[in-house]
Amino acid sequence: MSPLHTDREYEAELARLREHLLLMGAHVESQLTAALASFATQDTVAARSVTGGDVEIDRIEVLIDGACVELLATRQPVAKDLRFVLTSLKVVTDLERIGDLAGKVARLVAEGIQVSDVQVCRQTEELGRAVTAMLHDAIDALVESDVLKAEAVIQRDDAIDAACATLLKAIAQAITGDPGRVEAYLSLHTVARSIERIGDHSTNVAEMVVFLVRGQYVRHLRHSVWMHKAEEKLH
Amino acid sequence: MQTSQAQSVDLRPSVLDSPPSGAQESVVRDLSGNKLRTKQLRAFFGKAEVLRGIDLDFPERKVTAIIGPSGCGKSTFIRCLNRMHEVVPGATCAGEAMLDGKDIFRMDPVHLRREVGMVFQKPNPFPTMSIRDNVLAGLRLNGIKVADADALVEKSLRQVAMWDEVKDSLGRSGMSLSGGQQQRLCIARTIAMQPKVILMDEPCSALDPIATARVEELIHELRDSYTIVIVTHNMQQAARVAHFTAFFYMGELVERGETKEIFTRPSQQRTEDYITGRFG
Repeated sequence: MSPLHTDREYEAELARLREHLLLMGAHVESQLTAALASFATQDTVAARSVTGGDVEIDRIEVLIDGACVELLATRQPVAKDLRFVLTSLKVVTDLERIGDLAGKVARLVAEGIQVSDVQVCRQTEELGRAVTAMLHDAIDALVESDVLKAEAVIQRDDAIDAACATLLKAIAQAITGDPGRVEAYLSLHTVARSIERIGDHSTNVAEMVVFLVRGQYVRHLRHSVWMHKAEEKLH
Repeated sequence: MQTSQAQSVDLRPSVLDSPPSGAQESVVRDLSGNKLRTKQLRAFFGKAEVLRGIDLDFPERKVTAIIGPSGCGKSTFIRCLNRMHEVVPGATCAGEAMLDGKDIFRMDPVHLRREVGMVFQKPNPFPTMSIRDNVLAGLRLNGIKVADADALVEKSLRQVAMWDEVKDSLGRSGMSLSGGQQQRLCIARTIAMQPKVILMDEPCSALDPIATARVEELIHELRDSYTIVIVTHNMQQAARVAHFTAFFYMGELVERGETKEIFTRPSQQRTEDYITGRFG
């Protein structure tokens, strides 16, 4: 563990930023958990209570943006301090979007998603659990600056994408089988897409953890590397 | 007495009537692209070793910043590079320092200081000399005759972006200028000698932010023509002006690398702790 900053006030400003970031992460995680729980139980009352959670998340986002701007302007951070401030600026955007997507899921549940195909509902819940775990681990990785955990999160994204693709196909088939509930299935489709997008944003958070710890940009890199590996296998 | 057309004339090959002693010596080009390099350079004050074997390369026409806490040896290091360190009673150097492949410790120190000019922390124009004479002072003190002194004065002052400010008052005392102008005058005096390398020892520490910005802008201009080594306590200045940054600590070189790497992801923990202000 590196020593504390010589300037205690600077150290305190960085610590406050870290606390805000973790608080925002906790709020977002709880927002997502509550939204998915309301989906699983189709509890429209609980879903309505989730939709108001955006306000606090937005408030913390503004606080974090302001703290970052102030640190950049007054402290001119470098090296890991600079990486931390940049990571905070990037991560809040992803967390805020996750909050919005969780709110969207809750709003759809509040409006009522009455579908006849139990299997697609179960698949959606399963996808939700996997993505919630991803977000949890991404935030953990951020808290602990754990690059190995972050990399594990990044690697899970493809499985989430594949599971979502399968689910969307199943929803399309379910619509064909029950055209009378097309609107409900379209809502379910949006829920599934939102969960998949939350997985993408969780991956972004994990990628920023790699940048925070190692100073390496892994965004957009993994696909090109994996495609390269796949091409090599083909040849 | 001013030549207004001189701006577009490159005076570099013709400025000196008589080449300095040693200028005819064959030069072994350093094929690595480094203008200057040191190998196991050590410096002492009496028995106290203040530099402990520094290996450092200075690529041609690049700016290298040296950073580190007070007493780490950075000023001593650059004073070794033009052999000013050994002028101090009891101070000695050991190891290698090569300028264009030539061992500087075998060169005539006076000739070396023409090739390796220095700008100091505090602007030090000669108080009894005019602006014009200050620019020419280095050449005159070295007994070098100049073919066209006016053109050289104009060119040197243009290079430090001072010509328009002082062209109508070249006879004024150098001390009548502001601190920032005095420092730029000192840089003009240094580059009038046509050095290969310019050493700058905290050149902006006595200047206000505007004067500092002007000197930094000047460094940006000069880096196309000269190899520059700058010692600075101002981390942001190093980040702004230098291609490469070297971090010294307790007489040792801890890390040297591209400036953007040093300030975003240094490889050494000590460097990271120092630049982020977590030292000690």
